[in-house]
Order: sequence, then C-alpha cells, then structure tokens
Amino acid sequence: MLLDYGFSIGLPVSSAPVELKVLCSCQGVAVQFNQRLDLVAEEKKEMSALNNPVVAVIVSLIISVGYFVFVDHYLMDMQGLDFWYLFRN
Amino acid sequence: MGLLAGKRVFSIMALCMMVGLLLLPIVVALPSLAIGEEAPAGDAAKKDGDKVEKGRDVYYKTEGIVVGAPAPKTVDGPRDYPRYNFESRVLLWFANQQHLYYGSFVLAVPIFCMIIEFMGVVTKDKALAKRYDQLAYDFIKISLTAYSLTAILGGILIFTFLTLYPAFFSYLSGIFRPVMHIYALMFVAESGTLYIYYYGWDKMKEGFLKWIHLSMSVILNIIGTLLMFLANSWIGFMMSPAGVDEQGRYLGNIWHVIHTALWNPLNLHRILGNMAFGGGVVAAYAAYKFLASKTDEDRAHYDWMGYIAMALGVAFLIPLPFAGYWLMREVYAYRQQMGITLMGGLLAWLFIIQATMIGILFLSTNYYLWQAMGRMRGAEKYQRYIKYLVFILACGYMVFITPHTMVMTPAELKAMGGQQHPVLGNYGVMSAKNGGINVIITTTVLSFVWYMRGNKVSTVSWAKFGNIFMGIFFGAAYFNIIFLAIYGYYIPANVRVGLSVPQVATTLSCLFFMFALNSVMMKGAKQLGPIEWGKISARSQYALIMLATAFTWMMGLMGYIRSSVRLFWHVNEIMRDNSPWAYTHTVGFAANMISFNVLFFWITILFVFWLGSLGAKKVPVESKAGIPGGVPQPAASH
Repeated sequence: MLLDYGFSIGLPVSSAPVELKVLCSCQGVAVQFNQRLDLVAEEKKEMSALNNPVVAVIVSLIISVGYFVFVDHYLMDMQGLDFWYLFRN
Repeated sequence: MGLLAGKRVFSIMALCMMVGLLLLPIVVALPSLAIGEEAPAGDAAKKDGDKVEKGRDVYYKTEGIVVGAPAPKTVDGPRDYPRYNFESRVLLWFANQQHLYYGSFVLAVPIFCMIIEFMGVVTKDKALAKRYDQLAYDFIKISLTAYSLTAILGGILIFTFLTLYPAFFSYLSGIFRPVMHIYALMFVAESGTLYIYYYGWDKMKEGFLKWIHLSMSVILNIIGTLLMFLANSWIGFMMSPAGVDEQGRYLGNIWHVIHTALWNPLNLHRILGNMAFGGGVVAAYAAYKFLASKTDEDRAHYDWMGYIAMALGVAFLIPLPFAGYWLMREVYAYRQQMGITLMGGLLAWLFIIQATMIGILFLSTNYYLWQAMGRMRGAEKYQRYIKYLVFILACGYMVFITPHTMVMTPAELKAMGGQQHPVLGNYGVMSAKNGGINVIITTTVLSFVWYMRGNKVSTVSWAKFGNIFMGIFFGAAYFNIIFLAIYGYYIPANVRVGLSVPQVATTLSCLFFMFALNSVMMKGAKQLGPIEWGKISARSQYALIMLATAFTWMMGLMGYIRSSVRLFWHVNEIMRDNSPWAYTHTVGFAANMISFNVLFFWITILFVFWLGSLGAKKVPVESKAGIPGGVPQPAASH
C-alpha cells in the first residue's frame, strides 16, 4: 500500500525500498513515514509549481527587483545619501 | 620508515626556517626601530641643551619630536641633479618600470602556485591532482628564472637613483631609514624561501610533507606581499606624505610615514593588478607554446595551462576597476585638486586611453571564452546568442571610451557648436562611464557562466526555475545598472557620486550569486561530451597574447599617470623637483615611452622563457594505444 502511495505521488521506485524494510516492522514508524511522504509530496508540488514558467518568472522578478531595490536604497543610505531624492523632490 | 621520518624532520625544519626568515627582519628591526626613534632626538636634545623641537604632522596633525633633517631645497646643477647627456627622468622611468614589471610577475606567480598546488592537494582525482601539481611546478620554474632578473633590475634602479637623483634618494632613504634594512632582509627571506620551496618540491610531494610544502608557499607569499606593501609605502609617501612636518622633517613615528592616506588603496590595487598581470603573462606563455606545439598532447597541455592562467588573471581583473575607484576616491578625499588633475584636467586624456585598454582587456577575455566554447560538445546552443553579447559589449565600450571634451580646431568647434558634442558629450561623464564598465563586466560574468555550463545539462529538479531565475536576475542587473546611470543625470552631483556603489554591488552580486547558483545547478550535471583540450582555434591564443600585452601596456600607463600626478614635486607639497624635467610630457611621448617599455619587457621575458626551456628535459613521446585521434584530457571539468 505504501509502495502504491509512493507511486501515486510520482516518487521513483528506487527511492523507497531501503526505508520500506523498516516500515514493515513497525506500524508507528509507518505512520511517520506516511507523514514524511506527505511532506515530500508537498515539496514536489512546490517544485513543480516553481518549474511552471509563469510562476518561475513572477517569483524571479519579485526576488530580483526586490533585491536590487534593497541594494540601491541600503547602499545609498549607508553613505548618508537619499536614493529616492528625485521622487521626493 | 626511517627515510620518511627523516624527510618529515627535514620538512618541519625547513618550514621553521622559513617562519624564522619571515620573522628575522622584524626581530632585527625592533631594537633599531626603538633607537631610530629616540637616539637622534636624544642627540639633538643634548646639543641644544635639553631643548626639544616639536613639529606637527602634515597629515595626522599630531605633534612629534623632530628627529630628521628638512627636505633639501634642490637646485638644478651637478650636485643635486647630475646627469648623462640624456633626460634623467626617462632613464629612471625605464629602470623603474622594468623592475616593476618583473617584481609584479615574481610576486604574482607564487600566489598562482599556491592556489594551483592547493587545488592539486584537495582534488580527489589523482590524475588531475598530479597535473595540477605539475602545472604549479611549471609556474614556479618560470618565476625562478625571472627572480634573478628582478633582483638585477632592482640593483640597476638603486644605482640610477643614486647617480641621477642623489639629493632626493638621500632624503627618502633618510625618512625610511628604520625600515630600509627590513626591506633588504625581507628580500633575503623571500629568496631563501623561494629556493627551499622550489628545490624541496620533489622531496615533499606526498601526504603530510605536501601540506608542509603548501604551508611554505603561504609563507613565501606573505613575505612577498609584505615586501610589496613596504615598496608601496614609498610611493604612498611621495604622493600623500605623512609622518613629517611641513618642512619634511621626520617626526619619529615610522608607522605614520608608512600608513599614508593612499597606502591601503595602493596596496589593494597593486596586489590585484599584479595578479591580473601575472595571469596574463603566463597565459601568453602558454599561448605561445600552444602555437609552437607539434603534438596533440602538447597542445592539450598548453591549452589547459592557458585557460587556468587566464581564468585566474581575469578573476583578479574583475574587481580591479573597483579597487581603482576606491583609490581615486581616496585621492579626491586627500587632495581634490589632485583628483581633478587626474580625471578632469591635465591627465584626463590618459584616462581615456586607460578606458580603451580596460575595454580591450574585457573584449579579449570574452572573445577567448566564446572561442573556448568551441572545444565543448553542447556549447553550440549558446553560439547564436553571442552576437547579442557583442552588441551589449560594444555599446558599453563605446560609452566607456567617449571623452568629455575634444581637442579641436576653431572651425571644428564652431561646426559642433561648443566643446561638447550635443549627443555624444552626454556619454563623457562618470555617470555614463560607470554604467558602461559595469555592463561590460556583467557581460563578462555572463560569458563565464555560459562557458562553465557549456557541455553540461543540469539534472536538479528545479533546473527550469534556476535557469529562468538566472536569466531574470541578469536582466534585472542590466536594468538596474543602466537605470542608475541615467538616474545620475537627474540628481545633484553630491548624490550622484554615491550611485557608483550600488552599481558595483549589482555587478558583484551577479558575479558571486550567479557563480554560486550555477555551481549548485551543475553539481552532478549530465555531461554532453568531454572538454576537448587542444581543439581550440589559433585565434583564441592570439586573444590571450593580446590580453597579456594590454595588461602590460595598461600597467605602464597607470604607473605613469600615478607618478605624473605629483607634477613638479618629488614629494607632494614637501620636496620640489627643480630638475629641468619637472614638467608633464605630452600624451604622444608618454605613449611611445610606455610602448618601448612594454616591448623591452616582452623581449626580455621571451629570453627568460627560452632560458627556462633549456633546462626542460625532453620526454620521449610514448605511443598511445587509446582511441585513434583521441586527445589526452588534462582536466575533466573547469
């Protein structure tokens, strides 16, 4: 069943067998494993969302533009200068 | 076992000896430093009946006891300026420049050796480790021959000073008397360390001994760097004196004399410049050997050597303009007039030539990288985009070299409607030039990133996002640099001057973040094919030679600019130059002189290379049973 679950979220077959041996011996561990698989699935979903070109472009734009605006503002401020001089006046 | 233990003891002893050599000048100097500061003062006090004369430091503004003689007021004559039937300044210029070229080379190459030897020690691939080790050995071998010539040129330089400028040299050596012998002892320590390092190479090539050997290279480079810092303190003192009063009398604090306003910016600028220059010279050597090679094995080896030297050289070239900005900023902070003379006055046209040379350096580097992609299968995908990089580079370059004003006839002036061109004149200001050079450097970083991933395909799960992010980050960086350049036109000068800092930070962000991201993405990447070392166009090797020549020329130019900014002063505002040559040469004369120095250096360094090749053993070429036409691979990765 766990193996089926692994397939259902698109995990490669080779990623499961080592941990499966441990799972069969203890139900509690199996529950934990289920939770871990859920997390992996979440991460996978996030990754696949990031690999969506539109999402990737939007996220990249937010990070890049945010970063450079921060750099411009902070480094001018560090020199005692106002980066927004033109916009304020 | 006994032999190994003996080697260990020998190695540790050698290392201790090097540390001892490093500390020797300082230990010897300690008592003399103390005496040097107090004895003359004591003598003076006795003579004047316990009356101690005090003076105020011209830079630090602190009070100190006068312990030195005032700067001599020289007059044009055989006593202060003895001469041959030739311009003394030109002779000194030549001797100084040649010593500097060789000095830079022999200081830079051991740093390369240290880096390459370290790469050899930490790499897990044994064959690759051996190749790195051999490469480091080849480098130090070249440096060793050049080292003797550096010492000879140093001697010639001192004799030239003593013969042609005795009054000035006597004053300068009087000021630096407490550290003059430290410099000499440092030189002895450098020589001793270099010889032990070189001749101990084979005996200490494995295990713990190798680490000891590597430690020796660290000590060697510490000594070399300290040596350079001391030499820098002399030129720093000549440009921005400190530790003396307004008459040039030494006030007893040698640290003030050394630590002048421009000392640290000069140190940084010179160390980066030396490294870039050293990389260029070794790359040119490899290019020459590549072009002269008759076998595929040799071509593969020298292609790899040229690439490593070029990559190390360019790694130090990229931050060099920023170190230059810092130096200029400190020059302006020290004396605004000095900065204006440099960048907006008498010497401004030399800066246009300098910009041209910097542009050539980056264009050559990019051209080499694009050519180098030809030896990788899979890099063809980038070829169609190179034309866009050429366009961006050309735009940045043209803005970077545009002068603010032109030298024109009255008719031309009238036709243009003023000294500044109505359109192009806008590109002659720092705001545009900062944008231009940062665009050029960012494009070079992009070319490097493309080269590093040329034959690879990332296998990480987020590869698509990574690629998109890199593209957008570079795009945003270009946008930010150009935006800041344009923004500078609309704000006052005192705010505008600060924009260069975020511009530099943008370029450096691309360098560090994109290199790091690319490395993570390319970890465990699928290789589309090996790097076929040796299978590169001959044109690429000429680009390396061009790179080295441009480095050499630019070094000569910048040295001349830095020295000329003192105008008619031996020591700025302290000791006047009263020789008949205390004027600034024309741009044409200076360019000819620099070209002569460059030519002389390259002829002599070729002689040094030839001497080095005489000692090389001829290894018989073994017949290979591998794949027909297969070329040995010096390195599987970048």
